[in-house]
Amino acid sequence: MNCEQMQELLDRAIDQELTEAEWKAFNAHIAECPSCHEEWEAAQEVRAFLSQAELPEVPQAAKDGWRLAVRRDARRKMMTRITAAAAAVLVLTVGVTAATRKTESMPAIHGISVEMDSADLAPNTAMVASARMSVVSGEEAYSAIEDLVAEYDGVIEGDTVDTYGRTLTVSMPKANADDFSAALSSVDPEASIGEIPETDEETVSFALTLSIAE
Amino acid sequence: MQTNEEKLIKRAVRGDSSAFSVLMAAHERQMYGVCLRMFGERNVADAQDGLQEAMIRVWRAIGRFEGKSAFSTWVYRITVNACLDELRRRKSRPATSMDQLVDDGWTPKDTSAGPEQKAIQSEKSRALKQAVNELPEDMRAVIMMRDIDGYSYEEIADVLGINVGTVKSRISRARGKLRQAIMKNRELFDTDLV
Repeated sequence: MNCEQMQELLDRAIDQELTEAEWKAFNAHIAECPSCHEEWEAAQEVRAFLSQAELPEVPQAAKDGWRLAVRRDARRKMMTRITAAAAAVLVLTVGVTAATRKTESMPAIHGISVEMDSADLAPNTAMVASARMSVVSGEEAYSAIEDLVAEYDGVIEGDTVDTYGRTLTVSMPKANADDFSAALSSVDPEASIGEIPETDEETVSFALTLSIAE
Repeated sequence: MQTNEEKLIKRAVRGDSSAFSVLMAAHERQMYGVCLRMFGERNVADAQDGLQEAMIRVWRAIGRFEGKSAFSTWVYRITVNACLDELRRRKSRPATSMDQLVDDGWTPKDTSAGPEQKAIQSEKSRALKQAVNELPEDMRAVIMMRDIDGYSYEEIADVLGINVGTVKSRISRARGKLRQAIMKNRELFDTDLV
């Protein structure tokens, strides 16, 4: 083996991929060639240096930074979805208001307030505080809210319509209620969010009322 | 039965940022290590920005994770490419310093060597770190993936979107430059070290 051939085998030698015959020839050459021997030693030192590199600790500021950025992106995305759904319905419902106000069917709504309030509590549930959001809504906005409830592992257990609007009764794991409230409030910056009271129950229940705005 | 990771991925796909935070806590150290090595020894702020950018990219793309590779490999690919995109955008080389010795992702584990040996190792580490930081980012990426993180040539080619031959060529040239750094300074390190 000559030096040029040794160079051709060098990377595979570093990767421990030479055949037995190749190792024999390789080792024989570096035993008699000082410069190739030196290069092989250098290659092993480089490999040792790289393979022993430790993973650094992540600074707390970096940990906090990406988590905050992701939360903001999540809320931005949700706000875009609900606003887009609402905007689509706004076009459809302009001018269609009072005539349907007193019917039993889903009212055509051009201004909405959503209230979270205490509902008739099912067993093993707890009451949550009230919150308020405003969207322009209709069937498409209902779908957006339905999707939002599902994203937080909630279930719509009741759906009633009266002269005041449409009321959804929602049950949700308590652990998700805060994030769900935050997602709703990101659509309406003036929404007031109350504290989730301490409870040992794992599920909370609340009413979302899509009511006709004054 | 779904693993915990699969459940968290499913929730994250539905927009649950809390589940995403839990999911990614297991990967952030590896991702930060990649960013720190790619941006260079003195660019800790850039590495932190790189980590945030990579996390946002993973968050926005998680609905497209198909499970064809391990989730960790998929995340690694996004992180490396986020760093390369930013470095190419800047068309810059990281600053290097022989004076500053920070925890930068290239620092070898401590050994039980004596003070003289440690001093020599420290000098050797500095020289190699400088040589690594002076590598073009494409070479730095392949050396990191192959010789630190143990990816195969085929996996590296897949991550970077290049062919295996190009990967081998870049690794060969990168290793050659690092060997030169050792041999150039060999008189400083010449000891009876085995």
